[in-house]
Amino acid sequence: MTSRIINQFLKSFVVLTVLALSACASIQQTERVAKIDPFERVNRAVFSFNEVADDYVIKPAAEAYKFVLPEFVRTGVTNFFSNINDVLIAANNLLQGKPSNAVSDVGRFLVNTTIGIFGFFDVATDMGLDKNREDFGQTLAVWGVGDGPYIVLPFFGPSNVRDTVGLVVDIETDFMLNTNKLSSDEKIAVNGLRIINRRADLLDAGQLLEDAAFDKYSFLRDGYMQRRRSQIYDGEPPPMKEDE
Amino acid sequence: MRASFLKAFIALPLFLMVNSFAFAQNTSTPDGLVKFVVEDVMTTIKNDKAIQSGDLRKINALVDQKILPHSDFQKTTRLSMGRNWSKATPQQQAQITQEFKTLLVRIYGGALAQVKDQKVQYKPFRAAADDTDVIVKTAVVGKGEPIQLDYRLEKGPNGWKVYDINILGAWLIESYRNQFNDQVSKGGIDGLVKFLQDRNTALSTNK
Repeated sequence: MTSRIINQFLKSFVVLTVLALSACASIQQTERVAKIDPFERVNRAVFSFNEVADDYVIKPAAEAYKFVLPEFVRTGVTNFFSNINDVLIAANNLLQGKPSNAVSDVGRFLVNTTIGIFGFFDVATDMGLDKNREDFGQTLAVWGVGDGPYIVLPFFGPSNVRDTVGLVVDIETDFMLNTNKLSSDEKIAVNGLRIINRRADLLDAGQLLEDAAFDKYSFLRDGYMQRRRSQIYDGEPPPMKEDE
Repeated sequence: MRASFLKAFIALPLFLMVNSFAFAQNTSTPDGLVKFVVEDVMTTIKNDKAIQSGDLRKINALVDQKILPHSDFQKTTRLSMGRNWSKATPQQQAQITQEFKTLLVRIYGGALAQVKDQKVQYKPFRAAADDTDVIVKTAVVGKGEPIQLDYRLEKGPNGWKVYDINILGAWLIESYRNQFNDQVSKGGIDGLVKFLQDRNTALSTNK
């Protein structure tokens, strides 16, 4: 149910983007930026929308959440969702031809679900089974799909065409969004918790980012593209071609 | 009982001595230097309540004493500016470097104030003996996900200096290229200098 709503939302967003683009007046861009961010005008509008939504709804909720719950509970919640996600990470590692990483992910899931009490404690990391970060967008990249233009998604934030497709697949295969063990109300509650908890984890970094960026939009864009590139190559990206 | 106590009594200082000796020796290698500076800074923060509560004066003193001697801010600024660097006069270059340094120190200080019980994990270091430009990889492990934090160093006449850092997969210089370029294309080099000065003034009156 929830995933269908999000799905519809994404689809209508893509349509809207295309419409908006045809009406898009050109803005001043360097050659490099024109290549990676041809939809900058629309992206900036969505970015502003996200900032307002964050300022008025998501961030205050995350602050209240952080104020009310002690740190070990919040860490437990983070670990719980992270543990469930390890199954999908294992699947993506298999799809990317990295079976030994997949075995490690499954090992993490088994250890954390049992000894770690339903994933609330991340004992696997202490045992030397490091967490891998994979998603379907990265799998597509390993299969040879290029980034495509940069896109800012409503609520989800920075992305690109490839990662948006990846996100749709991630949502379709997400356990917490698709399980029939939970009613749709319960799903909304659980996934609401997931979003607020995630935002709470990022609160401290928020102000630093605000201070560091000359222009927050392009700073986040360039940071996102670098970070994704690093993730796709599992932290060992080949050096960038120097074009200057 | 007494013998083992005595042994420990003698062994402990000896162990500490050997340890600090090893540290002192290690700073000639880039990974040894990073480890020495990071551990030194972390220990200082953990023992200083004022820094933990965000005392900017003390944080700046810490950065000045322990971190700046091992960094090359001019190189960081020059590379972030890209081809705009040569458009600036030497005086403007010095100004931009100074302002950028002030900004980064402030942000770095803000990050340091958040250090609580984190530990730093040092990844295996790979470089040839005659390399003069290397990357030292670390991860900051606390509650939740580890944070990737890598240092890029260059060997100069005064030893190894850090000139770029990578946070969560993004290099600082690469991230600032567009930021600098945008300001220069909007208001020229003068506009950039003014922008940096305004930002630093706003940040220092804010807190």
